[in-house]
Amino acid sequence: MVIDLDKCVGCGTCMVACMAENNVPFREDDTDKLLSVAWMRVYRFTNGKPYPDTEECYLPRPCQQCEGHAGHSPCVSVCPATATDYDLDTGIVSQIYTRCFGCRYCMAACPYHVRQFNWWDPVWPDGMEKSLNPNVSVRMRGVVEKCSFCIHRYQLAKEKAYAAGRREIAEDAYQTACAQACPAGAITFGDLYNPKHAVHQLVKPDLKHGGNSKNPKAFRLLERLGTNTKVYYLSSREWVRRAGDNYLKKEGKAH
Amino acid sequence: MDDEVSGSNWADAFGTDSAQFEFSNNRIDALPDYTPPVAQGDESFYQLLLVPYDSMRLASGYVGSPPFLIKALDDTILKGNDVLVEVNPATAKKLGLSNGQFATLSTPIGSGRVKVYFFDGIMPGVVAIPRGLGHTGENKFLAGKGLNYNALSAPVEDPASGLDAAWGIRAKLAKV
Repeated sequence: MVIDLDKCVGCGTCMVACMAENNVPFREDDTDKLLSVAWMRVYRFTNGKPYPDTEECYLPRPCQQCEGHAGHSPCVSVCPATATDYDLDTGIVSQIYTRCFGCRYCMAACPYHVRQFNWWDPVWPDGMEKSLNPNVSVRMRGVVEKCSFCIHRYQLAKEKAYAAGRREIAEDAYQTACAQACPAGAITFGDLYNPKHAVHQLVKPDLKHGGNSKNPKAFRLLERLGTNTKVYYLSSREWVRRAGDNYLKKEGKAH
Repeated sequence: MDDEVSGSNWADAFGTDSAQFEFSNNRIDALPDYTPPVAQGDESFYQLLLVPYDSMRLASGYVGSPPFLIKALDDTILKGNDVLVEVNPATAKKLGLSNGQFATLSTPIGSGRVKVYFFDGIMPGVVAIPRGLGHTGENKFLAGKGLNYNALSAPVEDPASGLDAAWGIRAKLAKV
């Protein structure tokens, strides 16, 4: 996935589309963001300069789908229940709710606050249960959940392709809800390693160097941790690219 | 690379005196007998100017935000049932307010409890409140949260057009 921060206006459509697609519940008071479950979250940050030189930027944050080194994602490495794994074929970190027993090690290990704990059973207002997505299981209290890159859509697209006698899934046959909903077209989704896909052309990943991008506008969040994430951000503003890795003053420049 | 979004490329982008985007046309000042509308309130008591702003994630019209959108709001706009108002840190420090603190926002029309949110991007001397909160009905996800800007504001007449100008009123922000 590639998210162009020059295009993102912070409207939150990706968050809403994600919640509707993935049966993410809401509570009467969801303003405590440590207790609130949101697979996609849009952050706002500024360049830290006083008025009138302040600039701001919005940053949508889905699961970063860390590959680490050979599939050693931070969360996968610590899960005692094998409730989460890294799929080397799809590049997606899974979450199996029925295996998770809620120890929350993965939440502590994740550098991106991507994982969230269900402190309560989900409750939908009367009638709204009819709008739930039948392809995504709802989660009970006591388990951790996170963005799945709409893996159910991948499964459906794969079934469809196989039924039609194809082994390759077309780029437009599998798209995440957030990518489709974004009114600014800021989110591009596809197969990073397929040269025909737009994400590959935008990122030009350098596989010999941990997947670092050859695009000077591209960066990943906390890249130096070696999490080797599958979400790349684009920005033409240098301070935004630097903020992505939280550089200290004495450290080197972001590209 | 940054030249794409700022710098020399933008010098001639707007044909205004400031060479930047302007919300009003300065040529209006050349009209005979024109005086700009003045926000209601005594400046010596109401030291700040209260302005509304539209958050992209908040429906500010007659129909309120649905629950998914309320959930998607940042905690820099709504925290619990309290709305956060944006104040420039320099202005807030002069008033003895700290970030995240409760304060009473009062205008000649009304008052209410708000939380202070320091934001560098807001002009000094201004306090900004998001539009679309302060609903009393619809559903429990929306009702009773924040303050309604319209209940704090009153229009003044624009002397040039005779129309109501409702964008801004003098306000006071004080510790609770």
